[in-house]
Amino acid sequence: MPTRTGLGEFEMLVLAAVLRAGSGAYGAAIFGEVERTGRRVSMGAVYTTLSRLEERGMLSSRLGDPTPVRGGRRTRVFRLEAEGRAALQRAVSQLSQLLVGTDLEWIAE
Amino acid sequence: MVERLLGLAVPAEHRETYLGDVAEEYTRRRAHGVGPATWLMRELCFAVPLWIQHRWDRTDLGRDVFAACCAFLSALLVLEALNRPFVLEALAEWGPGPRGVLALAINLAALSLSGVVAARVAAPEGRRAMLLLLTLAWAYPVFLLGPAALVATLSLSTLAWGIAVVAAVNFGFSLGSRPRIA
Repeated sequence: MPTRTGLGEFEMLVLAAVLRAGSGAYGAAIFGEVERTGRRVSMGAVYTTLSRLEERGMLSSRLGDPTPVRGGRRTRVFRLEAEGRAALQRAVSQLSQLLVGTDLEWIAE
Repeated sequence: MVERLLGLAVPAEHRETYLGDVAEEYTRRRAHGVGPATWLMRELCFAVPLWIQHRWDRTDLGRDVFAACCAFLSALLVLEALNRPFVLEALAEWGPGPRGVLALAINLAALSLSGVVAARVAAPEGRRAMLLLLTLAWAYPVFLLGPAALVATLSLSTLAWGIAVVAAVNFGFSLGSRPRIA
């Protein structure tokens, strides 16, 4: 099976959410960032995507501390790796190039 | 039970942290009064399609399985209509209701499913399954119980249809929508 190198639309969104959430990029925070875009999505879908991106080396994760509000469960904090950053940059750049000269050019600027 | 079902949504290594995040988000929504129950129900609805997705790495399999379930239910109803009522017999063994109530219950379940399919499944197979199901679900109780059941069936069917479509839209069912399942 050929290895996929590009990013899906939702994968782009999740990578950008991890980037925005910064050092506190754990599941609920990333989910909050995605929801802020107006996209209705399940947290399970966000996790599935995070897991897939981690397998592809675009993200890494480490376990955080448990808290009472989480029923004593730990957080998993995600970090954008160089490969993920490059893929995100590439995807946005490609999209911008395609929009140049169209009535949606202002989005690319 | 809820946790086990929710846990299906993510790969095993993420299960603990995912359930923690769900607990945190649920608490936050409850504190702010922004529909925690609806949100949790929605998470639950996504669990099985997501499990199918990461278990077999097939994004569209959840939709296919759903359409197959509808087709299976349709096939059962066809067999019932051919006067081989093994489904009702089986239900009657443990169900308290009379045969007619069971027939209507099956009818409503079928319509609820078809409502969800109609609302969200974009694939032609899903639409065809829905149409077949809808036709059979309306015809079956009339066949079984006689014309007197028609009014009750139509009324309940309309109600079930409305509830299913509203539920599908509000809970954001997207079994046929690849990007939403991600």
